[in-house]
Formats: sequence, structure tokens, C-alpha cells
Amino acid sequence: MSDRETEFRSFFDAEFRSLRRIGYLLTSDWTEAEDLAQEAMVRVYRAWARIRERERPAVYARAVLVNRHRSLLRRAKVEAKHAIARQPDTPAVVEGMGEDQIVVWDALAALPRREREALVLRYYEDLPQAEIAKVLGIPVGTVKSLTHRALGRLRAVLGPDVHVPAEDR
Amino acid sequence: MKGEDLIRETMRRASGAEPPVGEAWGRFERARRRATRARTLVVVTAGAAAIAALVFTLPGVNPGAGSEPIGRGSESPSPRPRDLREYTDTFAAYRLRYPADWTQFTMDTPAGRAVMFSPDAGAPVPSIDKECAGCRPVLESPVRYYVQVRAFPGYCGRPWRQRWPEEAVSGCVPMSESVTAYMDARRTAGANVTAGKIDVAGRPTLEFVSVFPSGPMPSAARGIDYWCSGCRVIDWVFTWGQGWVLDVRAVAPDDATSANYDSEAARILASFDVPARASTR
Repeated sequence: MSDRETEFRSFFDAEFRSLRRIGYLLTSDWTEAEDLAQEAMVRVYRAWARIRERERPAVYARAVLVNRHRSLLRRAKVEAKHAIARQPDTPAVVEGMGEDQIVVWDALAALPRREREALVLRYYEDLPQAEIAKVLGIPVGTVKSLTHRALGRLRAVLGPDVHVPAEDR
Repeated sequence: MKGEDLIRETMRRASGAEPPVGEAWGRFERARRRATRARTLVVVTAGAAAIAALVFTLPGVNPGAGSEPIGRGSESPSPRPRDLREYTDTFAAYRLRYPADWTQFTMDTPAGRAVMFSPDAGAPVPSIDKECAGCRPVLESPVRYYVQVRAFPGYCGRPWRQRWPEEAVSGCVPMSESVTAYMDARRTAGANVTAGKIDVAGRPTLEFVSVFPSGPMPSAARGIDYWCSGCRVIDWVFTWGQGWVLDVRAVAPDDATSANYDSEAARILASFDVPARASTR
């Protein structure tokens, strides 16, 4: 195995599961999450020589995954238009979730795409806003407003008993 | 519980209930190989169609322009009734009689064989603009080119959506024996080509539409590269219906010249190891 292969294999082992989980949080579907993570890895592999030194491969992989997710959504819209396939409207309930968590999970699934992406990267990946902006390919100010709007929607669903952070704008 | 913690905990719990990763690396290896083959096939298809477009639409390379067309073989068989072969395709709704009306080009690649059909005698040929001696009007009507790609035995194409985990069990999904595509190519009306230079005052766009009834999905709008080196892709749209459609629009750079096209055509032909003036096999 060449140095490049060895290096990429280490990256794959370290990041694949994480990518797949992000894919699941974006799609609520493990099959699609697997597809997204695999496609993202194939693209990272192709660009490996370019990105391994100049960029952070993990950030690049997340950006690819998010872009592929957008493409899937666009395709799903077209398919729905032509009635070829139907996507489930609500995510499956995850075993072991409490009542509040089920409400949050449903609310996350109902968020607009970009807001959901921003929240997943912010609260699951714990990325700083600058990195979220890089992954999503948008300005930091837009990240702030997306997060703010998403949290506002969650606040409306969860009610006053649960304190949802206001998030600095 | 604070809302922030509730969101984190919900995401952690949701993503924690994951199925086993299993042979992820093995699936990756197979996906990588398939993607490479599919890209090769798509690029070859787009290249084949674009070369046909170059031959018939670009200044200095179309029949009657005073020079030999690039990519058109001098040893093309003459049309004889007993040689006629018919190709039909129900999706694209076309019926070709080769070599009566169409010129056939063939390219062999590691993945398969691409056969393209370009309009010949029956196609509209751009006429010289009478008000501008030497000017060549661009085609306002799209010209349709057909490309038939036949995969070699054992070639496996990737379905549009990778299935998991079924795929790991069944292996790759065999691609249909042949894939037929057609491309409508045109330069938007309003752009003139004068003395080897494209007038870009009107910011002409190039439109490139490929229609495939089945087969691998292109991972990038590579086809436009074959049209014009340096052109900037401004939009591409995938549409799924009966088949899938890749619609690419690009803008020509300010310094675009016909020389760009000519050299690009030569480069493409060289990459296929096809003699520039005798490409028909």
C-alpha cells in the first residue's frame, strides 16, 4: 500500500463513522447516510493529493457531504414531481429517546435544510461559526441568522418550559 | 434540562443508534472503482458528442469552410443501399439509417465502445451570412447528436443511488448492455463568429443538453470543457423523468476565440489517440 493509500485509510477509519452520523442527522435515514458518507469519501480520495496539505480534509469531507445532501434533496423534489418515489415525511422514532427528545427530533426533521445543517454542525459537531460557514459555503453572518432562526423554531415547538439558547447574532 | 443540552443529547442519542459500520472500507473500494469507470464512460460519451458538434458547428472545421473537418474520416464508407443499418431507440424516438443520412464515429475505451451519429446530409448546414462576407452565423436551432455507448462484458455501472447493505451482498449492479444518449447542442443566437474571433458583446451562452435514458450519472459537468476551454459554467440542472437530463449552460470568456475551440478539438482527439484527420474507424 502506498503512502497515499495508508494516509487516506487512516483518515477513512477516523472519519467515516462521524460522516455517516452527520448524514443521518441530516436525512434521518441510515441508508442515505451511508451513501452520503461513501460518496463524500470517494470525492475526498480523488482530491486527496490537493487537500491533504493545503486544506483540512475533515472539513472538506463535511462540505462535500453537505453538498451531496443538497443534490439528493433536489433530486427527491424532482422525483416527487414525477411521482417516481416518495420519501418518508417524518423520521423514525429512535429507541430510548425521552418525550422531549422525540419532540426535538421531530422538530429538527421539520427544519428547512440550511437551518438543519447549521444546527447539526453547531450542536453535534461543535464547530465554531467560522468553520460552519466554510463547510456550508456561506458567510458567518448567514450562519448566525440561520442558527438564530432554527433555535427560534425549536423554541416555538418546545414551549416556555425548556430554555432554548438565544445564540448570539 | 437546558435547551442546548437537550438538542445535543437528542442528536447524540439519534446518531448513537446506528447500524454496524461493517465492511465500510470494502464498500468504499468498490464505490471508488465504479465511480472511476462511470466517469470515464460519461466523459468519453460527452467528448464523443462534443467532437461531433465541433466538426459541424465550428468555424473552419465544417464541411464547405475550405478546410478538412477535424474528426471526419476520409475513408467513410459511401452510402450504398445494401450497407444500410438501422438503429432504433424507443426512448429517444429516433431511427437512424446509417450511412444514408448520418456519419458514424467509433471510439474504443477501456470501459466500452462509444458510437456516435452526427447529422450529415440531412442536417441543417449553417449558411454564410450574406450581409457580412466571411461571417458565419451561429446555429439558432439545436443540432442533435446521438451517442450509443456499449459497455464491454463485465462492466458494472453504478445505479443512481447506492443501496446499502444490499449492494455489499449482491456486488455491483450490471449496467444495461448499451446506453444511448442524445445531445442537443447550440450556441445562443446573437453571437457571431468573425475572422476566427467570437463576438462576446452579448455574453453568448453555450447550451449543452444531454439526455440519457439510463446508466451512470455524471459527477460533474465535464462536457462543457470539450466545448470551450476557459468557459465558465453558470448553471447545470439535473432532471429526472423518463430518463435523466443534464442541462449545462456556460458563458464564453471575453478572450474566447475559435482557436480555442480548434486547439481543444485537437487536444481531445489526441487524448483518444485518434489521428486528427482520419478518425473514423
